[in-house]
Amino acid sequence: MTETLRTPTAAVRPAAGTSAAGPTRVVPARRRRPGAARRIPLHVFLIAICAIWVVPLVGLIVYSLRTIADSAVSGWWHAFTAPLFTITNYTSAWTTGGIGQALGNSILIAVPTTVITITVCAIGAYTLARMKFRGRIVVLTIAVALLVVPPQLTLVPLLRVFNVLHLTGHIPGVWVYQVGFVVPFGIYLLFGFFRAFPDELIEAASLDGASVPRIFFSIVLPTATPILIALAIIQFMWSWNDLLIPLLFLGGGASVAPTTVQIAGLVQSTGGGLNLLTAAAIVSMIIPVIVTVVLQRYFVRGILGGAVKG
Amino acid sequence: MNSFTRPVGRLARRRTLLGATALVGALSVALVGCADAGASSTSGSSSSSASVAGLSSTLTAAASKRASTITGGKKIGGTVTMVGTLGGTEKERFLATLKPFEDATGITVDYTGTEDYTTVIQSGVQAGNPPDVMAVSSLNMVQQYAKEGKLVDIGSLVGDSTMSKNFTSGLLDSTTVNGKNYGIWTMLDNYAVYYNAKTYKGPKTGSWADLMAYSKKEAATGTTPWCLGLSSGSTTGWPGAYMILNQLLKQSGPTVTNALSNGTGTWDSPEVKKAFQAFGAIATDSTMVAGGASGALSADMATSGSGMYTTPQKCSLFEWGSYATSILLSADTSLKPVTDVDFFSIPASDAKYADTEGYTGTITAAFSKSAATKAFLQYEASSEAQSLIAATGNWTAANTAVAASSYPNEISKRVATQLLENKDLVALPVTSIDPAVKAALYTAVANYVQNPSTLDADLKAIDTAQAAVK
Amino acid sequence: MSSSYFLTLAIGVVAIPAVILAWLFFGERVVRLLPNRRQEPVRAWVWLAFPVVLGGGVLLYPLVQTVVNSFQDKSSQGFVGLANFAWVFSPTVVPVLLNNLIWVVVLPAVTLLLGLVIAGLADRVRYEAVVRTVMILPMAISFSAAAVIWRLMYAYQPKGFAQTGTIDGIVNLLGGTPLAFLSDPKITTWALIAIGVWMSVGTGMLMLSAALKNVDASTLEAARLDGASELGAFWHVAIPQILPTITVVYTTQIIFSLKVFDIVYTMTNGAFNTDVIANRMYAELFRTQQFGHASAIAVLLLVAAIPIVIVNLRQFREERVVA
Repeated sequence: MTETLRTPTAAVRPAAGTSAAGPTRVVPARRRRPGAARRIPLHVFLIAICAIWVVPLVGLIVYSLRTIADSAVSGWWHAFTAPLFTITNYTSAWTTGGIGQALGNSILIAVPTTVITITVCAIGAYTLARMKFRGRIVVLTIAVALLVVPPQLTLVPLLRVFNVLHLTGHIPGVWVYQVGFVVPFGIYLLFGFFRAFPDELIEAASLDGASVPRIFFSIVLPTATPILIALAIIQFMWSWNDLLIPLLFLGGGASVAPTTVQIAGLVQSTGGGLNLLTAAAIVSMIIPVIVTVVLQRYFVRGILGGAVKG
Repeated sequence: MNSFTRPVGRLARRRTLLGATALVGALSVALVGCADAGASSTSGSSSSSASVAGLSSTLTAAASKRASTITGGKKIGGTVTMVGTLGGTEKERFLATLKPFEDATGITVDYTGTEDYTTVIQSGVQAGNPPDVMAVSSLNMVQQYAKEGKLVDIGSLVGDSTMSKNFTSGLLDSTTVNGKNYGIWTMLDNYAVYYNAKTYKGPKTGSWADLMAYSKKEAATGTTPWCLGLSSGSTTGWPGAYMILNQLLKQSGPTVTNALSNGTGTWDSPEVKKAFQAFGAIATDSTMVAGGASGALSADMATSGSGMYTTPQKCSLFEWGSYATSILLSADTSLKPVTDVDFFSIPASDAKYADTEGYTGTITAAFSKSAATKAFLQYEASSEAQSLIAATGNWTAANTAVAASSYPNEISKRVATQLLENKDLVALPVTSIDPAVKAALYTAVANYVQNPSTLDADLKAIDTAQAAVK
Repeated sequence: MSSSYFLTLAIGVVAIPAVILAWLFFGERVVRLLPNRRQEPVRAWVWLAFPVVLGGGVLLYPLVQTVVNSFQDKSSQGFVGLANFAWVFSPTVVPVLLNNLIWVVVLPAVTLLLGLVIAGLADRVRYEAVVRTVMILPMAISFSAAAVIWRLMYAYQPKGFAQTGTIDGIVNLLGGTPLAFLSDPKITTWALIAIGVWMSVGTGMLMLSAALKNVDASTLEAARLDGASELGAFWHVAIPQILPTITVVYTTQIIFSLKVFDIVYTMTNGAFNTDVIANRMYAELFRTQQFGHASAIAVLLLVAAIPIVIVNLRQFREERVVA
């Protein structure tokens, strides 16, 4: 909070100390808009990093377009010198893997999980960050400690409980698990943000007669958009790519199996089938990528700047 | 401070909230659109699977007839949940053999094929919610769950007389616990040396020493005779373990091999060490195996066999299971059985064991005695269903009533006759040992190939794992 | 199927969040009936109902059971005292712990540094969203596929053979000796950590990027006008403001490293000296079925996390002072 409060002073300082800052003022002006040439290293670095990150994926895409025999004998980049592409991997992944139905199931798992996670975590983090009550530190400590619980450990005990509650074999059972598992992380991620939220805004609204839930939903939450989007992306990706939970809690029946389970089912115990698997994996990537791109549009600067510091 | 409550700020806030709400709505609509498209376009896929596998219509019709006899001509419906090891095209081939059953009885078989089948079954059993049926390669799992009283005895579902009529006593004994039979061997894998029929000029009979002498001569000319691929993710090393155990069987015989299976033998015995070294003579010698030790460790099992047909050729020999033919033929459709791909029995180091053959396979066992499960197991044990298994060309049928003509090509036919008939059959220890010991064995193989000097320690590590299990 | 599909989707996306919100607003009405002094504590528990039931049910319940199991025998029947913990510190497991320590030291540091640099630099270019999407892409891939990707990257053929792996292909092109990334014990763990970095920089960058969006632009501007360099402004003005997020990212990555599983399980399953705690625990749980051992390993993880918990709680308290 100190940082925020210091803001106006800092902004005013140059004007107040004109004489001291005098000789140097030209320099920052130039630095603020450095010439295009000075920005070249910046672009080179970013593009290089992106290239490194993308190369493995390009390899995957090319691999998925080659025949099994070709992939066995030469690196994927040979596909560019002696092009021989095939879409058979995609057609057979679609028929063998039942990827279409699986995509539908993945959506049915990941979208509700993400929406519910955001709701529950935002509420939990806000409570712990802004309300005074007994047991607050205990809940907070437990939440942080629960971050280290390895998922493998929870499988058998929870499978037992879920059986009793008749949640196994049904997609909502996976929502419950995946939301519950991420709650400590979500609270942990959002806590700092809500903690640093300016008191003045809340007090002002409170004096206007707004109720606590209303303040939370119409004043606090909108400013948290970037961090909520970050949590949404992380949770969506995790839920979408989770294999173990759907496999154990749903079983692999095609009517409920998401893409991860179907893709794992493409791996042949005697080896082989990697080409099918790569094709299916790429198909299953499309929706997460669209989600990321779409959600990022709400990642713009100035949300907090506009609302809080405007 | 007053800037905080400026109307502009409020407006911005409201816009963001609206934006976020609209986002959630838009997302769900967009995603649901995709889901709908996905759901509708897959509906036709399952009906085509029988034709994909290209099973003979005569055999399919016979299987269909058998299936309706089982349920008395009624479509009793229901679902059988099944967890197994198969994935990809193998899974598709297997499911095609179930199609006549599903059509005739109205029963749906819900098959989950995953490398993590142990975890899925294990946690299901512990949580009191196991699948109806499991089809696994581990005899150990069948015996363990039978002892714990989790499995339903096959005699009560299929009938002991049917079982003894269709299967050899050796197979039946292996799945018998306390006088009751708990599993059906539905598919067998046999092991042999596959070769490029056009280029391989070496011996196809004789002893292991003959084959090695030829290999060394070939190696001296600068061409590596063998291909080997040990890389397989979490089970890296397994193809080597299978080679070593086949070696052990044909060098030291069934008694020593079975002692490893039932846990009475030790892995650091001189016999096992000798089998490792016989394998190592190929796997750790860069003139003998394509790519040398590190090449073998890094190569993928499934694709390394293709090295026999590359130009320039990487190798001409490859020891593999009976699924080899179908993998090679589907990887390169220009290859023809017999003219390009052929096999011979693994030569014995000790002539006494020339007619001893190792096998692994898939055992089907039931956790449930529902009507659907009962019908399913009766179907699985029948010679009609087993003939369809044979017809896939991927496996050898365990049922003795299956005619050799059911196999789709000359090679799979010969695998069934040459490697099974009049042979002393021994299950390789990998089927019976505890999963922990098996994992230790695979790791030991990988470590040994990586650094041959650590062999003694690697073998001891398997014994340590075995001691921990007891 | 179609109508029930949409019904389920609607329940998850609309009905459940609506019920949770209704619970808050209805709860607020009840809370308002209480005397002023008691309102906030009661309201807090009304608000915490969903998070506590879900998080507690899914994580706390199995955890408590695990702690009990760690003092019991392999099938959780009789009590065996500290025998399982003695096993955890036996020569079979200690190398696994040490190996995991490499992960905990290296991965979070590299990820944080890269995430910070990329987030900071991307903040200055127009194609920031592209950079961010690219960095997040690895998260969009299921691990079974990522394993294939990295086997392609690390595939090895000895020198003189046609290389099939991307990295060795480049090494070969430059005239170097190809490396057996996945079977040479000296480098395999590092090769696996590189996969971990590739997968987790995106998350780190995403969180840091979100935090940077909330850094007050005017404070940076002021620093520049004061004559600070770009780097100086970033270091002295932006970094202190996003310090809480940096702690969050670093903590998240330490925890990811502590319980790293998928990468090791799918790539090597612990062969070539790459075994880690969670992989060992998985093996004890589902392969050897030694629940005592598995639980003891889990308790060790929890103990290892105590310093992390303390540091974070202290950080929270400092934020309190500031606020």
